[in-house]
Amino acid sequence: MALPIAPTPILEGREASNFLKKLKEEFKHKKPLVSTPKLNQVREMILANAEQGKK
Amino acid sequence: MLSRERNRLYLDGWALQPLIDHSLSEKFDCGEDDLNEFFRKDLVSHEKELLTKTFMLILEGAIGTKPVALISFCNDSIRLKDIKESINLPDGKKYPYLPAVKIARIGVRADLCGKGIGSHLLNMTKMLFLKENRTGCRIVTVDAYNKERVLKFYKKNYFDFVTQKDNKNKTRTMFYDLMRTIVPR
Repeated sequence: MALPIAPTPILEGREASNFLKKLKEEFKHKKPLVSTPKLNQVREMILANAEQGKK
Repeated sequence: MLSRERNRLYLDGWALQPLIDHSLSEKFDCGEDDLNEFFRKDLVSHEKELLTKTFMLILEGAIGTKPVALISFCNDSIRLKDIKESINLPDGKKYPYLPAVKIARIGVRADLCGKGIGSHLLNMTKMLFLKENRTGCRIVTVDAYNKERVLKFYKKNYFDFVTQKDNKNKTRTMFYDLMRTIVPR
């Protein structure tokens, strides 16, 4: 059996405050989508396999 | 670069779309027993009970190919108790919780690991919930396996720990604030 989906913990008191502080601090530092330069290799592999499957 | 249809998202030649044909997940192998078990067996019962919804990543236009990766989502929230602060809106309203979506499971085909597909899938997840945000969703959560390699992967994708209390558990809850995303044009 796979693990059940775990409930997200409820944050209380100081931990909740720290979470909000972290959220506000990180909000100032916007992030782009993560770069994935190797994706083209995967694209080529899939297309090559699909082409082989047709033959 | 980015186009959208209902429940379907395209980004850089890849499509993230709902998994309709469950036979596509029956032989899915991401090299992790727990994930395989979920995608091969548990996925259908979870969908019947409306607990999760699974999407598949495929190469756009590569019709008939196996999913490159699978990802299951469910609703979630980050609840805050016993604090003076809260999420304050400019009009003075205060909220002691943040609506979220949880990545219940995520898996990349074992033969394609280490090539950035997981990060691309997280990029697409961020875009899916930023652009198709039908119910209000601020945070993406995930229960990451408590393994160095896995935690490093999520940190690289700007996820952070929700709490330090789970650092001895099998999984650690991590979060990403969608408001941090610089949306590509």
